[in-house]
Amino acid sequence: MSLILDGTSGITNLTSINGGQLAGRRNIVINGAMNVAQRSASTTGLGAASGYFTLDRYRIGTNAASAGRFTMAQVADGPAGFANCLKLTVTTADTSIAAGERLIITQRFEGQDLQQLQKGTATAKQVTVSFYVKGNANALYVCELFDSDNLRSITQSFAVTTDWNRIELTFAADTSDPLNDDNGNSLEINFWLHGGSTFTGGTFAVNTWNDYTEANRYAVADRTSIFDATSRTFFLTGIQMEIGTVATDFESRSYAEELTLCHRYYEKSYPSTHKAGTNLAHNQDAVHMQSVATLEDGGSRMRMSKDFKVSKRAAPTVVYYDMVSAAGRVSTISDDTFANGVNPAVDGVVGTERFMMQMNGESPFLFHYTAEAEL
Amino acid sequence: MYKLTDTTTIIRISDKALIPADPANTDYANYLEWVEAGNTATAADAIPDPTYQENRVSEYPPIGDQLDALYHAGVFPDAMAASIKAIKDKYPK
Repeated sequence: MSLILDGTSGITNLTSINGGQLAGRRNIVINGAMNVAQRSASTTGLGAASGYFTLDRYRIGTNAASAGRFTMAQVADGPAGFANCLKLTVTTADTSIAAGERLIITQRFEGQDLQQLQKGTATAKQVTVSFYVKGNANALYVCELFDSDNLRSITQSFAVTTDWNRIELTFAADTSDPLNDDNGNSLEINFWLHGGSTFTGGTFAVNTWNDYTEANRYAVADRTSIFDATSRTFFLTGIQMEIGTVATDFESRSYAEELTLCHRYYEKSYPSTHKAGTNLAHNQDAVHMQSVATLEDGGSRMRMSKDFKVSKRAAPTVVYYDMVSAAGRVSTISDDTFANGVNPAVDGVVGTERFMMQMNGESPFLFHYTAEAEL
Repeated sequence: MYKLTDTTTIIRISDKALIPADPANTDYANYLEWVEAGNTATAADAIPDPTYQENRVSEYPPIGDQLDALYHAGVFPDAMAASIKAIKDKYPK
């Protein structure tokens, strides 16, 4: 492959500098190397509900209750240069597929982070999505970009083998319908692994932006259902979405950088090695509110505010835990003795920068918390 | 499923999550859908009235003022009074 330099596209086919990544921030995906898993390294029995369960920023999407169940885990596996990947392991098969069933792995993006795509303008950019995949056997799945602001979609299929392979998909530019410049969900990368007739009954369009037609989204011929056998596995890492037509080398970022990016959407007070609700034998990371001399509201309440690690995308949902993992409870301390399971009785208010806890009485109290502002 | 508070925050009863009234919060959006479907959240807990001790604490003079009054009234033990006077002499007005 030769380096190309022209006045329109600039330098193309430049995939590396000094054998490493190109300069500058290119990858729009957060946690593409699957290194951050604040919620849990592994969650079993998934499939009945949508949500965020293990690796940060990766949402499991279901539409109707399927009998299929799986484990989602961060595992120490990957192609050269990657220490971790996302692994789905089917634990309960489902070969009787109801119309509305689906299983997708999604990362959602704020519109204000995508204005450089120039979507909806005459100069809209092509986007290249690359990632590494493997499975227990050959399979065919679909990668979709879904414009949530305007309900438009573009799809391409990709093949999985038993070896790690890098998939490189360049998606067409979309000159219709710009993305909102705000903190809402504007665009999704969806990895379709399973779908019922609601999503497969139409005609699959390859790499063409269209107004969303549900029946077309997973309608590719010879598609695989990950729920077709309990032996099914799906491994994914190294996800990169960048402007342009070339899949450049994966842009490696430090764990600290990725963790900070993830904190905009989810943070916890627990140590990184402990998931929320863990019964901790120590409390050095807990939020600790010491008694104050002057109490609010005639002495009936005590208040404290806790700054978030980074500003949140939106005011997050906060769950607090006492020192032995009970949600909605705090621990009080007196003479080095904990009292757990204490109901703060008066709760708190939450903003994008910090949250405030209120409780009746004067006892110093401790708690852990999670704060979630996912898209 | 949800409980109101005396602020705009909503409590999700299942995990006691505090859900702020931010339209961009997906949990709050789910709450609004739930209300739109005809459901009603549980009323907020009543805030207890302050006890007589709390009322007194909030209106007592500061502890320092109370101790100063006792010193000037000459009711402290001799050793404590001497210690306080020594400090006052060390840092005169």
